[in-house]
Amino acid sequence: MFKLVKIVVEFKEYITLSMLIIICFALMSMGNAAELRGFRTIVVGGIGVAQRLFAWVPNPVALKSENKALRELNFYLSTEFAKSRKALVENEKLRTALEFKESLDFPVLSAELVGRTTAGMRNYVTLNVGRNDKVQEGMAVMTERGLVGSIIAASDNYSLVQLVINIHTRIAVKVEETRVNGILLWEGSEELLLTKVAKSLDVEAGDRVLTSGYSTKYPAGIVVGQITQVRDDPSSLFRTITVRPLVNFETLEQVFVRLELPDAERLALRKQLEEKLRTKE
Amino acid sequence: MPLFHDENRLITEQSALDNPVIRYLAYGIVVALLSIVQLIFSPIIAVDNIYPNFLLIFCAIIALREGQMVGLVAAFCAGLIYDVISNDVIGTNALASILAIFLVGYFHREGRFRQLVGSYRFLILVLVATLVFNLVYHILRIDTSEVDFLGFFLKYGIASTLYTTVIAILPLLVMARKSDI
Repeated sequence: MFKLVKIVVEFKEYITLSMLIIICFALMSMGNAAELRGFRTIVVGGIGVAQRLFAWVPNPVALKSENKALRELNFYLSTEFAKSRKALVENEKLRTALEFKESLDFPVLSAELVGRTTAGMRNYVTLNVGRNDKVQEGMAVMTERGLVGSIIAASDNYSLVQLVINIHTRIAVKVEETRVNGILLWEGSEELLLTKVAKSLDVEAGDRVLTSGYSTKYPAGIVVGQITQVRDDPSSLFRTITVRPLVNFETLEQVFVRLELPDAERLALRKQLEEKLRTKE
Repeated sequence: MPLFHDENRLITEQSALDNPVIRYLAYGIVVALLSIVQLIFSPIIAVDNIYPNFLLIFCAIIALREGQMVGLVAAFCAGLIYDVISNDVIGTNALASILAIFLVGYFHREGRFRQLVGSYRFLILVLVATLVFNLVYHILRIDTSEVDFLGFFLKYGIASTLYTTVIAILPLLVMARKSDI
């Protein structure tokens, strides 16, 4: 106690100064401190320094709430990221589709797939456009990547498309580079088969296959696929050619329906020929 | 005779001020008067909004005469009185004054008051004290994020310091004359 009194007496000036400073700050705080902008800056700065000094002390309650807030933020950001990513992909898709639509010299109608039907080796898809949208049986369906199929039935608001990968599909095609003609069909594998190509004809892997002008069902010049393999079977006069379709039928979402029917006169002529051949038989 | 008369008067004055109660009372009255003088006459003698700090000069005199402790209390009271009568934020002048006078108090030497105040050292002390006073006061008042503190302090702080130091020549002359007598 005596020591304490001794210290107080020895440092009375400093103690008085400290007390008076505290009193001054207290008086300033009680007064109109808003006028003391510098004082306010000092106080805020001082608090900031003190907080930074003690920031390392963990606060379980604050950590818990911060954790919760971060989790919520993480969820929100993940959702936003997924949304923007989806929008980006969709934007890219639509941009490509738009460019494709503008590049065509015949009218097309954009449509979305609303259903898929698989019966054995017969693959069909349902579109959200029908007769009300001027869609009719026999119209070709395609995407910017290539041929999809043709409309085989249409109701007022929906239509059914027989895909290229259907056991009943037969497409008259032409090899883009060498102009060799053939018939494209599907036998259930992942790839299409290009038939009726003689061994003497020049066909190579990598060549693109397009619909030919001989087709009465599809407009000429639409890409169907790319030749992946050319084999010569000794027991056959024709080559065995496999074609990979360029359209991915698994991820198909948006298509274009060609709003033009094949040439009616040509179809009628072909029917007449078929009937004549039948009567001769 | 006049010399004798003067010496007598000096002795009488010294005797009256020897009584601490009378002395502290006198300090209080002078502080109150100087506060009013500071408030009323400052605008008259101000040069470009810069005016001297009479109260600080007087508090420096008290600190040099009575010591650090009394000087601190006097500075606090004087600052507080001036805060009240000048409608300033209570505590600002008091804080700046006590810090400035605390420094001056270090130079208190028992029985050497007249020599100290009557010499150029007094001017240096007033200069330093006013500088500290202005520094603290402007730090409190000015938001450094909005105003360039250095520029402001150089203009107002230094100018006010110099003006106060010039005014401090008056007590120096008086005290020097008294020392001669």
